[in-house]
Amino acid sequence: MSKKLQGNGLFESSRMMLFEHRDALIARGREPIPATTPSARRALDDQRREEIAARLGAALSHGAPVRLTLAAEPENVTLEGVLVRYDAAGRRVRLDSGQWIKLDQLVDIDE
Amino acid sequence: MSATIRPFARPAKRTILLADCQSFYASVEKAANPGIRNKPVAVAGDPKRRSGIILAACPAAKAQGVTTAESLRDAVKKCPDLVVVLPRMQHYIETSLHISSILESFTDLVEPFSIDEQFADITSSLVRFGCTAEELARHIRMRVLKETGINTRIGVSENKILAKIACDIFAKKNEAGIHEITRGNIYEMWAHPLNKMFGIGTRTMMHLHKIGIRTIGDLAQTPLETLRRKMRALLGRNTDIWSEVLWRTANGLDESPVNPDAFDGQKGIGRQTTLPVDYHSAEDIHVVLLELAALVCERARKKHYQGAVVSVGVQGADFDKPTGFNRQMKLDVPTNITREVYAAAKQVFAKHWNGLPVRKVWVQLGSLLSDEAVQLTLFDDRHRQLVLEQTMDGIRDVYGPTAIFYGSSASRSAQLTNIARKIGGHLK
Repeated sequence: MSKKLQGNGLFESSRMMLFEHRDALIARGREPIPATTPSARRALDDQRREEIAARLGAALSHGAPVRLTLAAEPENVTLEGVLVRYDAAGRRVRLDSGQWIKLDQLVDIDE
Repeated sequence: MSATIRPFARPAKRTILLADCQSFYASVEKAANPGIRNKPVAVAGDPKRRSGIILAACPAAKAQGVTTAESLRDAVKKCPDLVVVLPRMQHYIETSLHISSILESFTDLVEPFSIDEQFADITSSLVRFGCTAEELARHIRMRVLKETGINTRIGVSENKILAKIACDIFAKKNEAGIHEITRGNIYEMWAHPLNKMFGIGTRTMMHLHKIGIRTIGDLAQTPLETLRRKMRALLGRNTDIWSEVLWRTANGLDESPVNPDAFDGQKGIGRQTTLPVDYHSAEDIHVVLLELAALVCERARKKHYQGAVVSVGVQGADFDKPTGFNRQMKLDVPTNITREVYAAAKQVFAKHWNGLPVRKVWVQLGSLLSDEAVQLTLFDDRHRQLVLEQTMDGIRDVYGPTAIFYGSSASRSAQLTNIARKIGGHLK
């Protein structure tokens, strides 16, 4: 079947994007942690971050349901689901519900 | 303490919207300058060049007959008090990103389709916010207007193609600025002529007229196999895929996802330029090819990419009688060195140009991979050349894009100065 009739082919082939616009969209996903990052996230030390990264890797490879705690104000938020995707460039992971989670927001992960 | 949000089941049927910004460039200018808010305003390219055309006109200017893409001279004849503003492309990009952010505050499934059109999958948002698509669309319109001064029109439906058609045919014309196409009212779009449908231009419409199809409904109700057979017979070639795309569009059949990752992977790096006059000689076109190759390679080096395929294209001035080509060649060794990309571009051009006048030229570097592993080839000075070009990049970073260039860019046919001042062919 033609690429135009598959997936996002129809729109990929007719999209009108300035490359400067495209670059800006890509760069937006790589912005550093903003100064307004909740204090719970800023308080994480290197060892804790490494622990979270290891659990994240395991959850992605096992496909088991996880509970993610995200730093937020006024209180942290917990999301549950299965991690289905890791976007290294955008520094984010995706839940099976379709939600993208920025790694910069993640303060805990439990299986 | 933390609040728990459990994943919810997404409804089987999706709800997609397409948000389109009305007279985008002109609206951005009006929002930025209250003094012209109640005047007819148009954003136009440089009047001294061919690009001296209307890029966007506000509704007040359109009411006096000003149309997009007409010459500035003609526009001013129709509307003598027209306020003409030069484009500021970087500012328009930033405004477009702001609108993306507003949409992303309702759903993470947002996909820009152009600088002034964005798709959003709001299926889950409707469950979460407990509202109808129309209510959410109204709220989005209000927020975009409040935060950016831009009036949006929103098409809603079960897929992207119908959301786009809902916006183009209906939402742009009605007072509410919102329209939803459902299976229950899809017949309303079928009454419209073919050229109102996404994907159909003048030539396609003429082909379809020749086989007795005059409305979107005619196209939708023609059996696919009949359409394929008639199009093949009319055009004397296999047009089956094209026929199916048209037929599926007319019937509102589309499974395309709203893909927020559409821009994650860089597939190619390209530059193009529209020339001020037709170029007739290969020598003149070579000058532009070198300039474009240099710009492409500079971007590739900055992004740490090298490419294994060089694509080149040219186009004539008459859009109704298209001439030119778009062809590519694979390189033996991936590169981001201007000299090598230019050499390949020249080869492609020599092979495919038929000598007809050229008005638009483009060069693209594709099949990108990281430049961390630079392949060493024997008996050449690639490393020295790379260092030289990186040094030139550094000089341009500090002193501007035209601070250092190849000697040919001092010639009459050169376009570097023009290209450097612009985004998408219009002033930054």
